[in-house]
Amino acid sequence: MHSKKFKYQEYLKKYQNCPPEYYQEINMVAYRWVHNTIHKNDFMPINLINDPPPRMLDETDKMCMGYGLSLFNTSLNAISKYKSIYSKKRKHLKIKFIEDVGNAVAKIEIKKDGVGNKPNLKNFGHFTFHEYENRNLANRIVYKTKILFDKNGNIRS
Amino acid sequence: MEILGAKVLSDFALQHKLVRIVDIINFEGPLLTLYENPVNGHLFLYDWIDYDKKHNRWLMYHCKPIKIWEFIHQKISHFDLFNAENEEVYVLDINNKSLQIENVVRMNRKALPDIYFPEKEAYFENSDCIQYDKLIEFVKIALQNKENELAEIYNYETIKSEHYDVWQKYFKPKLFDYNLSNKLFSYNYTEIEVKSISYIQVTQNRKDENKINQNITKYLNHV
Repeated sequence: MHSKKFKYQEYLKKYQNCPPEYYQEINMVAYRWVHNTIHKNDFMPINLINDPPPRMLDETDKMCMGYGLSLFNTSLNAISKYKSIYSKKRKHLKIKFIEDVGNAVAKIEIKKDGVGNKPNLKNFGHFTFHEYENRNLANRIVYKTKILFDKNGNIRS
Repeated sequence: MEILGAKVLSDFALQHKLVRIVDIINFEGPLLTLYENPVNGHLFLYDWIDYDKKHNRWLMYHCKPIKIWEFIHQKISHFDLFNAENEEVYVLDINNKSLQIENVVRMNRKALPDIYFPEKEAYFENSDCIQYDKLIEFVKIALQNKENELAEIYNYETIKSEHYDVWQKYFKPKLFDYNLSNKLFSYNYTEIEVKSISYIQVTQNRKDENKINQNITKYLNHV
């Protein structure tokens, strides 16, 4: 069991082993999709932006990881995954995607602010991060890189 | 959300029979999900297409295992997968909170608003699926079951061996369709000929049993 208290503990305690015990304290540079201009949801777990979580089909979609933050191990991976998801969406859902997750990639210096799993190298180095209570990753942003779109809504390479 | 003019179904029972198998595409929630009807093994896809404050809108459509196999091996796009069968689709509006289906419309794919068609260049990537190994394993078994089902229904077997450089087989469709000859397909070097109600001959101009089996299967999949 993790020794420190987490943000959103009241939700996490509803799940067994949440965050999982094998998650380790993180001390690294990571990258996250954010809005280029500060947005209240930039560091809000998906399950708290939308309660119930988005596109739920049944109760199994309410997962512990939905109360964590999606991060990537490199800037290139963060942008590549963004592109991968965005390019496959129907046009009207592309707009929603930008509204939801933002249009920039933030470089973040995580200094033992919580725990996470190992970056999944088969999924663009994605990992899930649970913040400790009284921490705020928004204060750890080093800089943001804006994602640029052409006039047809395609991401510029 | 788009307003759909087609008939709203009040007695939609199919959804309650289906079992969720795996999310083919998931990022912070399902986007394309595979379901099975355990009674007959038929596969269905839930394809997220729209939302409003109260509902998420999904397309639900039947899909053959071979098409899902092709999709997850990047042989066909999401658009091709969606258009693989010329059947009607169900449009489901699922309440965000109760998770109940509150509106069901059955309509022809062609009558769907353009915005609900998948992107033509949207190809699956392994990273789209959180449970990739489970997906592969499930579709593999579904394909094998389909083969068994075809063999049982159509009872195809080899009756002739070589004649010159021709390899022939026949199979019996359980339910004969008089329009069958109009539906016949030829693949590569294969000719398919209806000899009688219970005798359809397949001829291939080379000795390649695997190839001829594949062609029969392909043919049966299209009938």
